[in-house]
Amino acid sequence: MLIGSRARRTATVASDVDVVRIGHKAPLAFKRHEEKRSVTYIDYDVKSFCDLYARGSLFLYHVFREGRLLAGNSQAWARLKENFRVRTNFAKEISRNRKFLRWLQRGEKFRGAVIPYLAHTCRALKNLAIFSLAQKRRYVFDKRAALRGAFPSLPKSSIDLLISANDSFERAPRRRLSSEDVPMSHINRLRKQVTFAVQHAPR
Amino acid sequence: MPLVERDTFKTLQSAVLDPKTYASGSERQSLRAAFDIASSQITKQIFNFEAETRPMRRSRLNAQKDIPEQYREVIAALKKALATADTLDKSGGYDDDDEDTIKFIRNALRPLVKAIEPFQ
Repeated sequence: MLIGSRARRTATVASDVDVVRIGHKAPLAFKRHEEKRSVTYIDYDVKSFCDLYARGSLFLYHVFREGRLLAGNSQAWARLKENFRVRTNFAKEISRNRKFLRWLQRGEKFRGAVIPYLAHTCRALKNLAIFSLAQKRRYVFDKRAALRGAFPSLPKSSIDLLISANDSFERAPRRRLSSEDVPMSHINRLRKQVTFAVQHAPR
Repeated sequence: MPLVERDTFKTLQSAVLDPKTYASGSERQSLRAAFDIASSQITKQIFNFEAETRPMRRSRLNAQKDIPEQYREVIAALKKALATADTLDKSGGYDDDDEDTIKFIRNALRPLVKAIEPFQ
């Protein structure tokens, strides 16, 4: 299944390709190193997939809602999609991401690790946003839209910085973000904004 | 000044003491972040470069020729840990859970934590 911005047709040249594979782990052959770098696989064996299906995983709901079948039995997939029921209580996930974000903001973890710190903050804040919105039956899977929807107090410039750091750290794009691009005053401001957002996130 | 920020190092130590707890949930999230942050802080302090991309940090570390004598054990343990850290990077959608993480903690993280300890 193709998911993410490529499936939503909102991808830019910098976007990577997100593929979910069920019961299939053989890597594809890539002609160029850049191609390998830009494809992210999320693999499930059949047992894990069935477990997530039975538990009404929000991520599977995402896959069913926005995904495009690249290979496999389309009729079987349609039946799975029709019978899937997403869970409605995400309190555990919200609490987990909130706890992790509090851990990240404690101390000075950004010293000597600016981009990893920002990348992990971005990922956890995005997950907190997606789960918090789903708790209110709002299903948003685009990270930028989820961050804006869940944390209206978070400025666009901060969202841009977080996403840019995350993309840079995870994928090493040609124009990557350097720690020298991020002044300490930005980090301090962002930490206050993130702390405020976590405290006031929808519960 | 410690080689790794105190709270970050404490998380790595806790993972070594209780690998099973740190193989899933928010603890696994903290472990993944603590490892990324610690590896960046180590290279920053010893070689003056931070980890700016996950895919390139290992090759950049391997390219370093002059390793100060006192940090040789730390760097050797870090290289070994980075070589097997892929298991932490595996994405499971919004839910992370990975039994291979236990193997990583026992075989690669434990020696790294031991090597860092004298510099904390």
